[in-house]
Amino acid sequence: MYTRIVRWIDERLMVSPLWRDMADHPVPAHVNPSERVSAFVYCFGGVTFLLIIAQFVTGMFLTMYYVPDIINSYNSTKYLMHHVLFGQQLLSMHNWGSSLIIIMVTLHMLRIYWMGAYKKPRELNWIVGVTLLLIVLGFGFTGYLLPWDEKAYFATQVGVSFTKYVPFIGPALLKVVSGGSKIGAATLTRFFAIHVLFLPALLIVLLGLHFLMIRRQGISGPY
Amino acid sequence: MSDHEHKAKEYQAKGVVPFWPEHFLKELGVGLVAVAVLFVFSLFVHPILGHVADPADWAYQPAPDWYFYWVQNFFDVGGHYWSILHLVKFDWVLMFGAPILGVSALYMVPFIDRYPERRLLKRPLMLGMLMFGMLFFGYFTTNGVYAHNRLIIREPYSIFATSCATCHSIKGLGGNNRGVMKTPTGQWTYPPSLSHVGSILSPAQIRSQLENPQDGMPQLNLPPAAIKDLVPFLAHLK
Repeated sequence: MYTRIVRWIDERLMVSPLWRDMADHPVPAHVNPSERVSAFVYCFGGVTFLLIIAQFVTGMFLTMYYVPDIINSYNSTKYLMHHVLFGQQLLSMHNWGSSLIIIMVTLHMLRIYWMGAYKKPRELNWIVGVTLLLIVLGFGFTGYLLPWDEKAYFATQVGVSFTKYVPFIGPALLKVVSGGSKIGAATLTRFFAIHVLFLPALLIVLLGLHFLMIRRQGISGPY
Repeated sequence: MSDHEHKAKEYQAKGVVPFWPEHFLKELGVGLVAVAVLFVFSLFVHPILGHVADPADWAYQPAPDWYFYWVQNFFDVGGHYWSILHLVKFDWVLMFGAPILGVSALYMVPFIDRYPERRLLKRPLMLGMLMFGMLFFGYFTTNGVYAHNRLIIREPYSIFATSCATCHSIKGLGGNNRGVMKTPTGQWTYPPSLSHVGSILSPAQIRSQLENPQDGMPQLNLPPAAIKDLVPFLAHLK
């Protein structure tokens, strides 16, 4: 019965060859931590990906309660922390998860740098990787504002003020980023949209590219 | 021999494993350790939600998330020397040029290091860049944390100096006759010295006096961050 249903679906979707291609592709033994314990250094990227998925899941649940406006963002965060079942844990996981991602991304990058894994033909993947790093930092920066407490407000004020030093377009850019002449309601909705819509979309596309290139070029061999 | 067994033999001979399920599950295992650490940590340590954002709060000293300390401190220190060198007119070089240079250097890594040699110890330029980067981030992060802590410690003193010392004194410092008032009954009242306020009033009483002043003290409309800093400071004056 099960096999028949799967076959029925696959006859229409025709994903089986794609799946076989992905499932059967050979992975060298030197990256496998069960072959050599020291190979766990090859897992930092995968761990980051898993943590990103965890951030997506916790973030989706947080959005169920969070209200992005200057009256309710603080109150809804407070409500989530004190009155929602597992709300505190959810927020904690999302909060500390961001720090853990930064740590894992740094370790991943150090591994690539240390082993010179960015060398030909993998230069383009390094470029995508650095862009992903900037996106991750962007997530951290925009997410910091959302609880709308004093720490969030004033840290964002400092962070956003850097844009005014961009030559020629600085003042205009500052206005675009903060949605007005000062940090306020427009900044909050803007940062919320960037944090939950713009950056995730970019992240998914670039992660797809990142993985596609790993598949095409393979994992760099041992020295 | 089935197709599967054929493939398994072939992979074994080559010293590789298929992505699914061997490699995937092992990678997932390592990943789940990280997620488990995150989960357990989150059960016991919770982020703190501060006072609601108040743009008028002049007493609040913002701190970035830990991984941005180095940014703030680099520009603080850099800006300090920039103004000593009278380069304020060209502050875009520091504030825009330096980050662009840093990010570009990161992007350019594969094009700077083009030779096939992969051992880090045989790549002196890259080893140097790595050392420089680690010292750079390490120094400015530590320095940033240190600078922020010093600011936090000084904060109650500077709030006292600007908001309280006009009328009150601590151990003979600060205070003058501006706070002296004649009450309707003809008596003179003097703003008390706060040298021993901690043994006279409880922290809660100090807080309520700062928020809703009584006995002739004017309403100062102190922002929440100022009250938060002043209460423990005054309560310790015993």
